[in-house]
Amino acid sequence: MDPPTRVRISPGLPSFLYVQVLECPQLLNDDVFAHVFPSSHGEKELRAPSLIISYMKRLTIGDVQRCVGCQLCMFACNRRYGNGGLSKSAIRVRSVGGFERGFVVIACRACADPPCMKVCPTDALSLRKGGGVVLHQSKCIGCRLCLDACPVRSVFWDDEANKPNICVHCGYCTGYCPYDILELKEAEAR
Amino acid sequence: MTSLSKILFIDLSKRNFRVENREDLFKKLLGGTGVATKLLLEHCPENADPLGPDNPIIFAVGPLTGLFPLASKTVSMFKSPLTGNLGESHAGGRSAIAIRSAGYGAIVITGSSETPVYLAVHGGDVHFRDASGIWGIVNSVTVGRVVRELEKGPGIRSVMRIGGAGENLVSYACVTSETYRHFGRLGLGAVFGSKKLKALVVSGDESIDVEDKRRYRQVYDEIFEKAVESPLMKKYHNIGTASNVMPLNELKAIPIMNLKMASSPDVEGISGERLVEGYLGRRVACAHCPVACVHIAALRESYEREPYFYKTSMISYDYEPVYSLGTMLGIFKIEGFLKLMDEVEAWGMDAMSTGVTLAWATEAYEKRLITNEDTLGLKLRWGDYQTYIKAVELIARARANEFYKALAKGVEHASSCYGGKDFALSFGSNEMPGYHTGPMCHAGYLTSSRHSHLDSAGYSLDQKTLNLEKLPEPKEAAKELFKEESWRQILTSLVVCLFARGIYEKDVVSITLEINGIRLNSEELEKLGSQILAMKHEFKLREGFDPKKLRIPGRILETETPHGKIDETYLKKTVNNFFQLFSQS
Repeated sequence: MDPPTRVRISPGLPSFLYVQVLECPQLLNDDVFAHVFPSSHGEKELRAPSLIISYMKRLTIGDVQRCVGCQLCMFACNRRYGNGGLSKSAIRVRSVGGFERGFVVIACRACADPPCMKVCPTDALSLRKGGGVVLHQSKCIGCRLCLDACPVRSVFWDDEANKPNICVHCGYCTGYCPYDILELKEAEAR
Repeated sequence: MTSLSKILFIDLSKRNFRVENREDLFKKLLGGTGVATKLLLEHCPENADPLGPDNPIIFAVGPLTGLFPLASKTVSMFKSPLTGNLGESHAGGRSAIAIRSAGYGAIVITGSSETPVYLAVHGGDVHFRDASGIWGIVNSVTVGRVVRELEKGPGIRSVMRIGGAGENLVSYACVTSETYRHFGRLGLGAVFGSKKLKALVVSGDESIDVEDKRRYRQVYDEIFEKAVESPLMKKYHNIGTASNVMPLNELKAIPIMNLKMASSPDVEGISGERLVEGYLGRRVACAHCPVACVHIAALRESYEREPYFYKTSMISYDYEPVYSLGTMLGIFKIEGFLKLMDEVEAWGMDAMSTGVTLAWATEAYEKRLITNEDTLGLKLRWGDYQTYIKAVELIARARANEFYKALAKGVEHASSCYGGKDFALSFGSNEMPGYHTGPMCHAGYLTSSRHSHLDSAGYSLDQKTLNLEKLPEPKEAAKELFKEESWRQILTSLVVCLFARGIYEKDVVSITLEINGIRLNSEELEKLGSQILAMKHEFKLREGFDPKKLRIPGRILETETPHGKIDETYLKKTVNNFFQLFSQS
């Protein structure tokens, strides 16, 4: 394993905008970048604030009893693209079955052996270091098999692009969870 | 990508729908209140029967919906069966996000169905679903449970529905969304009922295109930071709106037992602090709001005949229900209040109107204006929540006898049948909110477009002027109220939650609008606000509103406020000055 490398992406932006790469810096090619920071594609510039990406970390959900169902995480996820609304959100908060019973946070659990990847007929999903998958947009034919294969139903569908919304474990949503339920953590052996 | 300017028109009589693009409307009037008022003027024929097929139901969201936090409200407009005039009621929950994400800035429902129906709007698809099987389910929570199972979109939808009170056309029946949020005031539930419309489900997950993406994220972060750090927001999160109970009691401004009093040591028993410490079971937020002001109490009760068997009910409360179903009825014990609240929630009635109506009935019964025959043997007594629960059902069924039918039409109507106008606490036929802070709040109830405390915030003006040697001149007071109500038209056109008014100040509003491609400076915004207010006034005048006929309930002049007893002349002068401002602006 290479020693951790820090790659500053855009010196013109505030200093907290950097990407921390713990492993496999070669993964940071344009294709992956376009996926993590879609709106920066082609501009070579990170627009999302306060982002630390680690390919060994994954999104984790803490005490879900504290969740108030505000859905700020869903909007944050979509805002990676610089837009409002929800079409590209890869996380969802819904009630257990009525607000009286609390909430469920549905997010990618970064499987070590992801079922979504195994059913992809075009290899558009590849294994991500630390679990989960990376989507290669150009290979995806929009067949929806990944959607049904996910046991926790955390693959969402972008009707506008006819592609899946796949969590990239960038942790952008965690910065907007007012009650600290979402956290980006080192992956544990499971 | 969704466009705010699309309006979905649904005709229940013809069972068809169409989409119109009204960019002109949204450019000029932003959304929410502004757009809904224009649509009401366009689609509600003069003198329409509020419970007839001609009365349109309008829902509108705004340019900030889905883009910025705390822009979580939907504005509904209709002709009110309670007041016979402008009906405007706002709700949070997920309704606003769902409407915008489904691709619409507004939904207009007209006509009336012959058989019970519910509407399912999933993005561009509109379904008229048969509701004959769920018509008659009186508990609004159960209706939600049934519809939830039938429709798609958990997490990105809103289920707006009515309970038994709406079906039975109770004039102050509400529309409930997400179990605990309501289009509470002025009787939208009865309008649903009159159209045989049991529910409206809306879902969608479209995106909203932003041109300057960097600027958008930057402004978003600034607003988000302000929201999570604001002390006001912490107050509403921690104890919730019920945190106002004790301060208002100390101020001697909380209406108790039909406003015979405005302060009592007993109020402590039902304080926001007590509720949180003893009963808080969950906090809930509207979609895209970090505050989570919605407080839900967990009430654990044992079954009488089955030892060691309990049920836990989750009951939502706020300041206004604590006032109207608590202090106003002399209920100072939390369990009694919660059980009554639960009953009102189930039937789908506005908690404020229900409480004020019951308070009047209790006093009328005390004064023997009504008899045991009228009440069908119920002995209405302050604090007796079990009897009130029975009375709520009789009102909600709206057919037991003439008395309960009258109560189902609100306190203005009931007191015109049975007397006791002096202690019938309604303003412009809308039941009173929980503030007796001085002359300004009452001037606000009388003058404001919805006769609500949230329109012009007179209660706040009362508190600000408490330390002054004398009250501002009526002319000045009227100006202040008018200015505040005008500005709030902008907030409710955007549509942001009024609790966030300290965050969405004029310059912030201009910046957020700029991201939407709308350029309006503070001055232009203020002007637009008063224009929207004037449009609402225009509708009211058209439908027969006469400022001269406004009734001042005698009780508000008898019971001391923090400003002492209200001077009727001062109040009248302020009211007159307010209406004169329409011709000047």
